[in-house]
Amino acid sequence: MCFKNLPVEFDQNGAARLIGGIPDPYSVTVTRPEVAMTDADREEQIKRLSARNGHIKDLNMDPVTRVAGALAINVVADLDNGRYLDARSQATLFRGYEVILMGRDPRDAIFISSRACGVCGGVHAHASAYAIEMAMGLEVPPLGTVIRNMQEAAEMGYDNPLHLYLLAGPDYSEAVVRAVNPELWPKAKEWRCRGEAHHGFRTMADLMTALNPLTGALYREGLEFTRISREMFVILAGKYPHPQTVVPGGVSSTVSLQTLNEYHSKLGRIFDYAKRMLAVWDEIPEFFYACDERYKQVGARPMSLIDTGFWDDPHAYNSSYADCNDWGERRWSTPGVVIDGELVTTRLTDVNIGFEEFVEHSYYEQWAGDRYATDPRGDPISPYHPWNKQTLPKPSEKSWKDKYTWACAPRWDRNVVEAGAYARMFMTAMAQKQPANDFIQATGRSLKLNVPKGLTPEMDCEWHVPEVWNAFERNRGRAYHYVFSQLVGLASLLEAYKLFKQGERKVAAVPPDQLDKHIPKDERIGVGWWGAGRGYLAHHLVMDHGKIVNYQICTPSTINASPRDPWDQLGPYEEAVLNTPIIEDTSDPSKFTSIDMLRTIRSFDPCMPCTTHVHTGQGTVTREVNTCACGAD
Amino acid sequence: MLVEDLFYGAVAVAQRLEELRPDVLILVGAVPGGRPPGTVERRDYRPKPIRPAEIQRAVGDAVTGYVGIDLVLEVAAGLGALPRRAVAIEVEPARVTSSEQLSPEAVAALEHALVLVREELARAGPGSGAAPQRGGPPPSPGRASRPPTS
Repeated sequence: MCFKNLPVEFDQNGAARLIGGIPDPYSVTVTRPEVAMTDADREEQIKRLSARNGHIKDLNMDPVTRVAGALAINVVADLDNGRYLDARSQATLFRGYEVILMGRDPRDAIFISSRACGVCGGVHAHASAYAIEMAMGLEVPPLGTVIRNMQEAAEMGYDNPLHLYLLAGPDYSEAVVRAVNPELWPKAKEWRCRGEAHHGFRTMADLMTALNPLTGALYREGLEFTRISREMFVILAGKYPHPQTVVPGGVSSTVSLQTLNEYHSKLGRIFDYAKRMLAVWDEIPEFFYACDERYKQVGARPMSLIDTGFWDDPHAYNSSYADCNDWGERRWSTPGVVIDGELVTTRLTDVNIGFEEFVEHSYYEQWAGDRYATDPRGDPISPYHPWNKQTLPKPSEKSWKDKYTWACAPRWDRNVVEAGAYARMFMTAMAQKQPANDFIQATGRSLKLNVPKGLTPEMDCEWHVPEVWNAFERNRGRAYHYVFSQLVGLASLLEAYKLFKQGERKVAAVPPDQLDKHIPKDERIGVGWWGAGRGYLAHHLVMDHGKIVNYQICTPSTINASPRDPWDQLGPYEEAVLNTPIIEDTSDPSKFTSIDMLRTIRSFDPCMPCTTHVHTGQGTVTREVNTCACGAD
Repeated sequence: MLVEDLFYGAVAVAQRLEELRPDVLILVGAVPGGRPPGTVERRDYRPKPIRPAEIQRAVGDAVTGYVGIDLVLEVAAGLGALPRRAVAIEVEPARVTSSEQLSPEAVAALEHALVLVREELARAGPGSGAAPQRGGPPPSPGRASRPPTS
């Protein structure tokens, strides 16, 4: 029984049903989660403190830099007592791919939804293909699934180091630490690195210097390795971002042994780098925790996470919703939900039927009516479920009490949950349901990873479910996820060789030029559960008469950047900021940088284009470069 | 001469330029810049010292999905991948929404843009290495025979 809030129970066969006798069971006033503090309580507390403390500051970080897209964070900070009293996360721009997709051929969704984000250049195309092939009833041949897995392992290989070294890494660099945490620098010079044998830096000061933007060795190396992974993706899919070869029912690439060999040669270069990455991101938390225990509270929030699972077992995946709990649990990373540190389900149907999106504090109108009362298995779904949701933009003035963001508020079982690449580590480690393999082993509280030899010897490493969940552990988890994803890439490559040896060549259910004949004219629904570099990704599709009649994209950053919900529960960014102590020296408020809050926010790897599926306000980024339009030369 | 669709992020473009090491870079695009629709503009990139913080900001934009000519110029310059001569030829779009066709203004401007591209190529030298920038040093022997890249 995984639901504690929603009025849903299960029969002895695992089929879900609504608990009887509750009128309007999904009403937000009928089914309510327990909430420790309402906004009214919080406002009262701030008023009280403001009356006796002159150090309450209202700060607006707009935009938060080094994140993808437009994110603003408004905080109320009590500098005297070193804590945040309130936080609000705002996605400030909108474009609305859901609206663009209405009435189109479902196959267009692969190419159009891919443009929802310029960072996640392939994940939306894949999620879309999964949704369409479920609706169309196409079964992907094993080699098609393996190629998709390899593509998406490569995409994670691009995405994770990009965040760790180009976006989050500078927060821990010499340049930033000496400016905002000068008290740490002498300690960094004294700190003898435990992982020197792997990452090559004798002291933390050396490591921090290597994280410096542009000039640092780790920064430059991060740039180089994102390139190798991009090339791996391109070998299989032809281009990155926005591949043209992802189709409903598989891929349209021509794959040969040479293709696999080229992928292999690049993947082989990654493992030495991966070992260095683990050592770096193990060292950083240990240093900060040793310097000041309060760093364990930076970005802390409850260990409540959600994930759809990622990378299919080619011999289990059949695209059918009816079988999704079976093939879902066979994924390389197990789907599931963790609430307060406990794994409560690994069934995709539970992940799905417990999912709702609310717009009380978002610039959308509440839609009226619901198309579906159940999923295709007959399990109940909420009027707030993505298959029922409609995107009705309604821009208005910003009001903290009313509407203040373009992100909506996704919740699972009316709980605040977090998405992230690291969520895959939690689910997979705790569930112990992964297919047998030579590289990854789940123990219930950890994931053991066997990293093959490259120039350096084979290495066993282990990611543990952390004691506290905070900004540092998010970054550490992302580094381990990088290794995890590359091992999935290796295991999938070996499976591809095996399939080739058996004479398998088919990579799509139907040749793309014959897909027309397979587009149903009746009403169908589908969902693509896939993963992004930042975690959970789902595309929910409704089609009728061969056209899209509803399309909903839910991304990890939509979940993480979400505002308050109808019960005043804070979104994950807001919650994590509120739990963050202000460790930075605040003796001169004019020099206050909010570095602790920024480390918190960036640890989530926010992707705001994904969140609201925006490009930019007017499709324009204005910047000044030194050019001259005065004519030739 | 090599023609490529540089639709991808500026960091990837900079890495591609490092690989190609062109003598001349001609970037052609249509990014809204507040000019009347259909305006064709040619701009020479003039290198200037850029602070690391500015480059990092540009790299941050580039790796998080923004694509644009100015961003390519800034990032490629910051990462030391820009050739000595870089020119942007831009058409002011009438619209930037999804469409199967260019706007009439963009169609009309396209031929003018192509004329400017041909002029740049002619200026770069017939079929061989790029001509030296006015007042600048001659092409290095190792790069003189490489065809210009656009």
